[in-house]
Amino acid sequence: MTATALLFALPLIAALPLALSEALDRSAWHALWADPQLPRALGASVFTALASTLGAIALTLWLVTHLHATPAWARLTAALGPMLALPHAAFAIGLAWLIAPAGALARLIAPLAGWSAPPDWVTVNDPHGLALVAVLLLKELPFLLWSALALLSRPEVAASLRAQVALARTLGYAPHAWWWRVGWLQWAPRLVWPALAVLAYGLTVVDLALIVGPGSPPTLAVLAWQGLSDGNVARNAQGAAAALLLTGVLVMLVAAGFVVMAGLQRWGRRRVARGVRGRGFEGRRPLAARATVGSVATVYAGVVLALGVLSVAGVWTFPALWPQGVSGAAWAQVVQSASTVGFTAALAAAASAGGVLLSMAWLEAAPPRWDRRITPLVLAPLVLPQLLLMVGMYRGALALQLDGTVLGLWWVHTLMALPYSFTALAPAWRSFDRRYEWSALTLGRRRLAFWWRVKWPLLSGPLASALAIGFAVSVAQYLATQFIGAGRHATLTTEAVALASGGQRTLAAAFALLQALLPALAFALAAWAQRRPTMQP
Amino acid sequence: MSLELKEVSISLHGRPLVPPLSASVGPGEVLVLMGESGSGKSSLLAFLAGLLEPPLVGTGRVHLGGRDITALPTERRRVGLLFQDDLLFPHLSVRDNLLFALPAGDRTARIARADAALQRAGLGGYAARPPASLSGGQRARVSLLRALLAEPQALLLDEPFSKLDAALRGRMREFVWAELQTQQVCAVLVTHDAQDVPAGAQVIELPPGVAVGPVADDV
Repeated sequence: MTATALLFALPLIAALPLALSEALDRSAWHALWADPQLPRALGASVFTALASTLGAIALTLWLVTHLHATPAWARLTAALGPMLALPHAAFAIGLAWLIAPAGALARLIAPLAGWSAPPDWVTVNDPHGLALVAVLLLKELPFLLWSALALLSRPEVAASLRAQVALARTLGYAPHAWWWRVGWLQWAPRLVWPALAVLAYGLTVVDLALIVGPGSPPTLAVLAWQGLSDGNVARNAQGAAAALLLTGVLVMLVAAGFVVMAGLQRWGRRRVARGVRGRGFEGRRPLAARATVGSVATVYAGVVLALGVLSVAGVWTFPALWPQGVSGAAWAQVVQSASTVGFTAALAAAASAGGVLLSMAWLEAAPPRWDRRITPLVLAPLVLPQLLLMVGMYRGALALQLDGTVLGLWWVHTLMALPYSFTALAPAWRSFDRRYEWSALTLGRRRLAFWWRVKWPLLSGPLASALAIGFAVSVAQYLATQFIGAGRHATLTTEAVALASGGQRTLAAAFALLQALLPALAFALAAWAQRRPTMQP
Repeated sequence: MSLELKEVSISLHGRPLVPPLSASVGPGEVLVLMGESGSGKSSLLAFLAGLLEPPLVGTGRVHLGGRDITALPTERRRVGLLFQDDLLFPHLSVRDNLLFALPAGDRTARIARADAALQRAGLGGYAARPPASLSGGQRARVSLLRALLAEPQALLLDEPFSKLDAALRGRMREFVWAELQTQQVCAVLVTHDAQDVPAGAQVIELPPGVAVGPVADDV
């Protein structure tokens, strides 16, 4: 048990002081402040993170308010899985092609606008980071919706929600009026952690910023990453200082967020006191909400289609809607990189297995007292800025001589997959009826027999989901692979990002498609495992 | 085989919940524990089964067939346990549920034994069916058969009839007492309902204890 706890906790406990020790260098801070790119880079980071996070939160609240308990809700929840499974980098590469001046959207409207050449617009890598905001918003919206769905589906919450809405309706409140006046006052605070994870991710994301973010100067996260990957020690320290600065900014934004939330709660309670009932549910807003969901789903479908077409495009002049020729050149190069595909899949399988085994060991054996203390640490990578975490973990890997090794990569990918595997497994594991175990023991069977014959088969669904989620998380790792792999090990993600930021569209699209296909395959396998014939009445 | 309780007591956070208790139950006999909610009846059963968990602490000795089982792990005590719910494993067929309980041995012989038990209980046609397709009464019978096929030397019954409707409860009681008699297994029954008490059973009324919630109530 102690060993499991150490595996969980030590890397994280060690990573932060190690990162701080590198970042707390006076000359590094002087160099950072003297960098003329800093103000605009910091501004772009804060703007893109705040705009995407607030936009995703607002859309989540609005969509849940108008669609929950309607037929459209079921369709929305069914669409969330594929949206979540599409890796961030693949989505960014596809969306970049959709909105590029020579991209699919421009080609669609070219006949109407009379364009014979791409418009002189900067829609990707724009200096304000609007493309990055769009990618982050569209990619984090399904995550927040899924978090809200998970919360509202809990039996105790679902029962209370049904009863409260029914009661509110008897008091003359339309359901959406109840959500804004009462519902969100209760449930929104429970969505703070997912929102915090979205903000932390948006503020420190590197791969997406390289693909669609501003170029000169880039976001502060990219500046930090460039410093950290430099061969010069002073530049490394400057990069670590930038990562620490971003963490400080995150802390301030979170503090401000809590103040704003408290204010909104007070304002909400005052609105309750006014007793305004709101109009009926039949209005334009549910229609607009359904249209929004449809638009987001269309964008996702468009991204996948764009990746598919782009990966086989030969000659494709503007403003032709479809390529004039088909080419297998990109896929031929992918085939030559089969070892990268194999390595990505093997690493993801090993990391997801590691994450699930550690989660199972913890859930099975941790005393409740430890469980309460260690669980927040296990979940910490979800809300900690990855950049700072990676600085510390890289220092740890250097000390253990694990940098650049496959073992080191497996270790850091496992740690990144762990919170997701744990989150997927814990509810089912903790709500498993312990009396089954007592029954088995009193029938004279050992625990191992009970786990093998009863518990694991009954929990095969959550286990398969946890494995698939861990696999997808590992496949999508960019910073972790670059830092701990020390640039020696290529995965589909590192290749796709490098190709996309280098402007190799078709090859990047092929790698991005494969990057999306691997997790999709894992989720399909998980769904198949859950649909195996079981004893049904 | 007889079950002996020697000065068995349960405490919660150092405070006594069940006062020291001694009793002996012979083969085919039933010891009935009655008392209010929170009096520690179910905790006492958990102690006998080796399933008592902190903050509850049990003291005293438990002997079964002359051997001291107090320190033995649950799976080696040969003490069966039946709950209010049947707790049949939902992903296994009725027959596989019984096979899970039967001691290791020749597969064909084990299947024959499980099927014979089902036949005797009037459930001959249900062997391959999933538990969810059976009625509540049928599931309760399968649950009892499963407990008995593990060849326990004592059976602990934690309000096993309380979730059955009145007509079914009577039939199930008769089925359980007859099986215990046939197999000469001693039993400890926890119940609130005086009608559950079989003729000639020893009855111990536990004094009101400290209500401790689901641990004591549900174990």
